[in-house]
Amino acid sequence: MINTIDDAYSLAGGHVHSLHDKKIGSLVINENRVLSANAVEGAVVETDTRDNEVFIKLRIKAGYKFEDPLHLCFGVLSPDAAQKINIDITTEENSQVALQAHCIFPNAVDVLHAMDAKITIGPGSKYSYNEVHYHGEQGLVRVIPNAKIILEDGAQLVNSFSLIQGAVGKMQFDYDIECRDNSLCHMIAKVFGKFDDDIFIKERAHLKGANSSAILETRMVIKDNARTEIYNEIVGEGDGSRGHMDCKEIIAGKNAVAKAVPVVTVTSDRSKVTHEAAIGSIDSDQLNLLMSRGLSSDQATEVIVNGLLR
Amino acid sequence: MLDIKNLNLQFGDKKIFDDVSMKVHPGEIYALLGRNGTGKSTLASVILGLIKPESGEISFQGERIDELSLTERAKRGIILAWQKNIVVQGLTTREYIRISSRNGMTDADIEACLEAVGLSCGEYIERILDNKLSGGERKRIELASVLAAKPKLAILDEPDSGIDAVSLAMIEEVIKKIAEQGAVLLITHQEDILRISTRAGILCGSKIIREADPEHAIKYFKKHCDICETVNNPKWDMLTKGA
Repeated sequence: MINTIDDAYSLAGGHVHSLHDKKIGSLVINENRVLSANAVEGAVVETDTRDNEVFIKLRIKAGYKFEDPLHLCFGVLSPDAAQKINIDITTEENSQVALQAHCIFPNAVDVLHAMDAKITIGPGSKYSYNEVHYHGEQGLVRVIPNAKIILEDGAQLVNSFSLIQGAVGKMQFDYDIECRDNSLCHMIAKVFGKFDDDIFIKERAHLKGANSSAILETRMVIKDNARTEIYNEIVGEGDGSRGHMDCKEIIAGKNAVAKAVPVVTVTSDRSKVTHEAAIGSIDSDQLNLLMSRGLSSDQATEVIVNGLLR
Repeated sequence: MLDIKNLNLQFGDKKIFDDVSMKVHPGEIYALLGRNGTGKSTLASVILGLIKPESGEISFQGERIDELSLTERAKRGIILAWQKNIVVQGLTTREYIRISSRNGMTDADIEACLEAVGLSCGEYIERILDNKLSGGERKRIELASVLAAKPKLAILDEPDSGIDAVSLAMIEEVIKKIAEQGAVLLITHQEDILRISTRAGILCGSKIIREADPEHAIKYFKKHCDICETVNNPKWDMLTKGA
């Protein structure tokens, strides 16, 4: 049993000093209680709790460029609890910020982690969001993140979601991104599903603006009785817009089921959207290469899986 | 060191090995010479345990290894430098070389292996082994990884392909160094690299048709195998017997 957020944060790979150093922007939430919020110059954070839901507003002021990431920690230490986060993030014109989020549920037996996000990335601003999950090896976590994201003219987004440690549980991931003129979006989701995990990912990028671009990248490994359904869609509307979807999944075992559905919609003859999806067992050439260096089959598989999810 | 006796293998109607026997002795660089498609890489796969022959015996350092797995053969010191470029997504040069060394290498050791094949450590140690690397770069990293493995028998499958003349001299030195630790089975159809071999065998028409010193082997190869290739070409049958 992990008893403190700091211990859980360390276990998830976070550096605890990031949550306590006053020079580093941070926000720590356990269940639906805000434990600490440390705003730094250029970032305005407002929090509120009502009806068992945490409301967060984060605004990055125009022109502020953060060299170091701001840290978010969303934890549930109880085995049985619900955490609901409603977050509204705005990055103003020509700002730059990276958010490092750890979502940690080490003792979960039946935990709900639901997040509704509204994110507006202002003109010319750069925003990256790296979310790392740490779950216990057993029990059920229901992970339900929904996000509506708008990239204004010239904005850039890199969103990375990683759920590799522990059992996923049940995940319903639904992101909708609108890309305006000259904006750029790169979504990366990496998930390792095992046991009876049920993983559903839906990402939709609408390339409304001229010369906007989006990459939707998914990397999955599933085994045991895990199931995945990946729905990726890019709509190419703006002149000169470019989109690409890339889904790679390794499936191990006879009971796991993987399904990937890439949807390409293009409404402009000056837009181009491509996709590639590959689902299959561990590649035998890769396996042989590593085994020919003395690794066992299991060790070689681990190297290949870790490489894909890196 | 390596002793292959009476090896037979057939794929469908095609005889790949017809009673092939050969030996590689300690300290030797044995060049296996043959045209494309004569079964040189297949022989490497048989030695490694990736392909099981219909009959025959393979012994290594006095031990029968026919029933050993790929992993077990590698642990006994039989290491292949692969001909084809196999990408393990996300794997870096450092990790690949460290795996090959059975995790016994420091960064300084890895640097020495990379520099031996003419690659700068600073530029390559963190590089992901993907298709952005050229064929020549990948070949050299592969050879560095074999060097790191300290093999008792290194099977080098066309280590010279995609390598320029300057780098070739460097690679030849590495191959000699590997042979000092054990032995090398050098698979090639190129003449240049043969100069470092101590003995050569010619694989042609499912058999090792001749073993000789490199100079005589290449002469025989040029004289005999062009004819042999023509005779073994299906078009020959069409020409001589009518389509």
